[in-house]
Amino acid sequence: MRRILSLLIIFLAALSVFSTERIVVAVMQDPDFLDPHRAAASGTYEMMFNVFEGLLKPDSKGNVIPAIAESYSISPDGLVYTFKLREGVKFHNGKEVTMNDVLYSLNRLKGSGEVRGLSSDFEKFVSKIEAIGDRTVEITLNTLNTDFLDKFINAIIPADNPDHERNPIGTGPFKFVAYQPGQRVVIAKFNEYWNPDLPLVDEVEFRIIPDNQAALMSFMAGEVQMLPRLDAIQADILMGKYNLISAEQNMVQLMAINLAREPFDDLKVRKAINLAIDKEEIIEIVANGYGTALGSNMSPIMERYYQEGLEDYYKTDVVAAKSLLAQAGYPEGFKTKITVPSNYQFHVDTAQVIVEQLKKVGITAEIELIEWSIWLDRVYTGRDYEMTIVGLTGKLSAYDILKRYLSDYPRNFYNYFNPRYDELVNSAIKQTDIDKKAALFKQAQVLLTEEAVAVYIMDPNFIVALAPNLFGYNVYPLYVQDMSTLYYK
Amino acid sequence: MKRKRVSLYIGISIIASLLAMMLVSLFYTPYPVTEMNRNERFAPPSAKHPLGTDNFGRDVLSRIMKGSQTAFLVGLIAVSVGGIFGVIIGAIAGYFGGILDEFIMRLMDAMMAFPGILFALMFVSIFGVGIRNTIIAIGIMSIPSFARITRSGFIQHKEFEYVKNARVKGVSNLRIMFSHIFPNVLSPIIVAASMGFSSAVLSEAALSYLGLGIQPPDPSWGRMLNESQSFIALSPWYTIAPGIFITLIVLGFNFLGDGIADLQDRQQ
Amino acid sequence: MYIYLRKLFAMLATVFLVSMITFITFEIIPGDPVLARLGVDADEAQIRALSEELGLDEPLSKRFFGWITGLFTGDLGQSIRYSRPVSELILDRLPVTLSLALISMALIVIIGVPLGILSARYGDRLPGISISIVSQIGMAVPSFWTGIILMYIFGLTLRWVSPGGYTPWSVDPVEAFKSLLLPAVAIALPSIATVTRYTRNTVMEQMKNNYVRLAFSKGLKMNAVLFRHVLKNALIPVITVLGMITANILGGSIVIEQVFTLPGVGRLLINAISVRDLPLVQGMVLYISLVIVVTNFLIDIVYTLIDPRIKLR
Repeated sequence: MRRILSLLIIFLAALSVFSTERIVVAVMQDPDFLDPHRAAASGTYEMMFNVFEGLLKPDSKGNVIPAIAESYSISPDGLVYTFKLREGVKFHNGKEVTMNDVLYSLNRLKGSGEVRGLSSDFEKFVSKIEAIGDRTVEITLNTLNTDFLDKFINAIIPADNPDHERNPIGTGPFKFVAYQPGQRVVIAKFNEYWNPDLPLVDEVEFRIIPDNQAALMSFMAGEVQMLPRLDAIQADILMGKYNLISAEQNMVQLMAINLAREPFDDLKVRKAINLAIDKEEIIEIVANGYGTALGSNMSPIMERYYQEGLEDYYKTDVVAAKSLLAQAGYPEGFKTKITVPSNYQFHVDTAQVIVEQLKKVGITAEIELIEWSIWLDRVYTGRDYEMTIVGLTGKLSAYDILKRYLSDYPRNFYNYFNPRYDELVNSAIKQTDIDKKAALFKQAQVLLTEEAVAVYIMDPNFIVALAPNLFGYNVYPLYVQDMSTLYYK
Repeated sequence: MKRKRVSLYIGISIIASLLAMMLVSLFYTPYPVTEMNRNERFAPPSAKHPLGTDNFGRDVLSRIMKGSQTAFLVGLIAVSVGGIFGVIIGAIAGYFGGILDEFIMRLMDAMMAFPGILFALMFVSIFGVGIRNTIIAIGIMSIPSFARITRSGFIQHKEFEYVKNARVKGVSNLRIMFSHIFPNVLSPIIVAASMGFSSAVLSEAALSYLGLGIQPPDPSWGRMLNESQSFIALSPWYTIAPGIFITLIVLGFNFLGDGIADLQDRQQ
Repeated sequence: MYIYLRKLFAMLATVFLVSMITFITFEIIPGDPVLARLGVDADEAQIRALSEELGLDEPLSKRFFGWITGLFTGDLGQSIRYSRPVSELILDRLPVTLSLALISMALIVIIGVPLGILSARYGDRLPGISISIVSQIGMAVPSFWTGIILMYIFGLTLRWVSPGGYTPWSVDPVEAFKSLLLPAVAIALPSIATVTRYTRNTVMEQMKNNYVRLAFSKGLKMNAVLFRHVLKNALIPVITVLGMITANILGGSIVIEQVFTLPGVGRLLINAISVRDLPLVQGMVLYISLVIVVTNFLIDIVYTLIDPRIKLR
């Protein structure tokens, strides 16, 4: 009798393993923080997007849609945002979301009294957060910022959670289960999610596999069902045998030029460099063709705000480049250094191609590889470099993408100080008329191109590989993996 | 008698061939080493490119030839640095014993206990990236193993009759150490040197992961091996070539070391 | 007794020295752990919050001695990158590295030493020379190349083992062993070759000595000579090498762990260094240096046991 019973238990246990639908996703790094207000890295949001929601959340088109708020309105002067909370939204601990939680979260971002905030945007722009009754909240800005709506995707978290880091609780379609540093983040279906149709699978494991090759092998062996961020070579290997989805990823890969250093303070030199660089060749060699050439600091996927045609502004022309250099006083060219972070092979490869291209106009460039943290320290913070290659991940807001070139941006490592640019970008967010706003952002992009502030290379395509029986993937113009719509067939 | 020389001959032939390739590469390579060709990427071996091309369309054979310069440089200098200092330190420690030995071995232990990667990182951060500092760092990292092996040999031989005899006869310590004991201890040291060579070449490859060491686009076999792993499925040639050559050069020096040790034995 | 105390003191001194050097190193090398953790998209407010929390402004000596006193209570501090106790992170990784070391060392000792003795016994004849040549090749092949190729063949093509997956012993011992076998082989192969060569060399060295000729002339057979007289002397350098290899593997085989994505100590160290997580690096350097120092100590003891002429110094 005992034997039959134990066999039955084992059978049932085995059955449960089979009936749990899990997806294993390969990711390349650990989350920096599980606490959503403290997390900064895009790699973190990629995963935790499934666990936390704000009053609003992004959709796959790059818009923001109601989440914990059921509806919202903006006052005609653009300064007051009013949100009406949705009924019956529950946290992962089963408790309902109350106004208290909403106020707690928003104030945590803004900072209150002695305690400083966790979001510079909230600190700078929000003057008042007020509850009107217990289902409506009103946020008042101190200056007009028409891109501020996007900021409400920041997570709403429970006021009574003593440790948001070790025990993260949100309202998303998945709840946090476990995090093993260097190994995995596991999330499971939240049965009381406010949208009863989602999610479609029971569990997701984000397996941390920093090595590209190992991730590919795991995928091909069936250990991993989803492989985001394939590089071009891996895509070629998997092509034809697996589902591949490819799209622009709203990233800007550029070669930054330190405008405070000679000879790069001379516009002619910068133009010459731009003319020497053949973006199509780089896309072909480094990205195997999976990339879109750029002309300024904006990806075409940001449709409304993207200025078209700039990628042809500097058509590759070695003769013109040489002539400009001669005019600038460098007929024989000059020597320079391209500093690249060693952990991004994509940028290292790009640098190698660029070195060959610059040779043709007489510029001898030496590649200097440095560790990522040294790059952050020396180049990004210290601005001690001549040229460097970096990829900037996509944001929902055009302001967030372009603000890096503002004179007062603390990490403006380009050393670009142009009051005209500042004016364009800052007045854009004061515009409530969308078309006028778009026009201003577009002019800003044109300015960056005309002044050859950097060499804008490409938006490398985002390619994801899915197991043959996995469907429902939506590409976002953001660094996220939306696991709620995925299902097995 | 002839059999004993086999290792030596094999070693010499391999090293000589690689050396010849290196010398040729100083003047000539079939293609410029960094020249890219977007239409000929991942080409398999052919008459035009005997070892195929890499992901940039660069000729692999040319890069291998140039890479031999790096391999010899890194291996030889690193081993020399480590070997000379390591042997001297180990001999002193093993022969004299006492507090001197204690102190030296503490230092060696500390050096061995300090993770090599961290040491290399620190060294390169202070003194700058590049081939010269990489070589010095690797050389320093290999000192403790030479020291330890030399020391264990000296400890052993110190107790042997012939040493005691020499001391009784009034031979100076220095002479005893280097004329009497050292030749007997040479065998494991030479083996250590060939181990050191291979670990130097491999350390350089490992450091390439961190972006220290040889800066692109200069080819080093270690770096090529690392880069090639991303597309092993598309173009195995790029993985196989540097792997084989690294194996060859290490093999060559190992056989050479063996051969020399055998010669040494017979002289006794 | 006194000797053992001296040894203990020496060991502690070494570990202390290494820890201090690590601390000072991190002061010198550039790189900010806060930015390294938060990245290029970091909000200034978040940077400020993390910097304040970490208290990195305090003077070096204060932080160092704070760390030392923490050691007495087993507190290795809090990791800057993972916001978790360092001891917890290291203990999490130890089972993998220890299991890997065990399996590798077993392979190395069981295959390497006998093979070396065999090779020396048949010295200049065919078996001896062929083993010698094969071990030469084994030593020359880069271990991570071997690793990738092994993974490719057995993991991907033959599907005997699962690539890039590690199952903990507590979940499934059989799977755990399978996931550690290939990496252990990749680690062991060059070391087996090394040990084989070393053993062959030292044994053949010993065989040339007078006392061996004496033993043969007294009528002793080869096996008796080998096992009663020669091995005692020959094994000393071999033990040194075995000790060094053990210490190396226990310290975490960084590259192999990377190739097979094993959550071991080696990978943790590399990550910690690249994000400038000083407490975590400090903790692991402590572990690694202890391993090496203790292993060396054990080697010295074994020396004295094997050859009474050598006194513990």
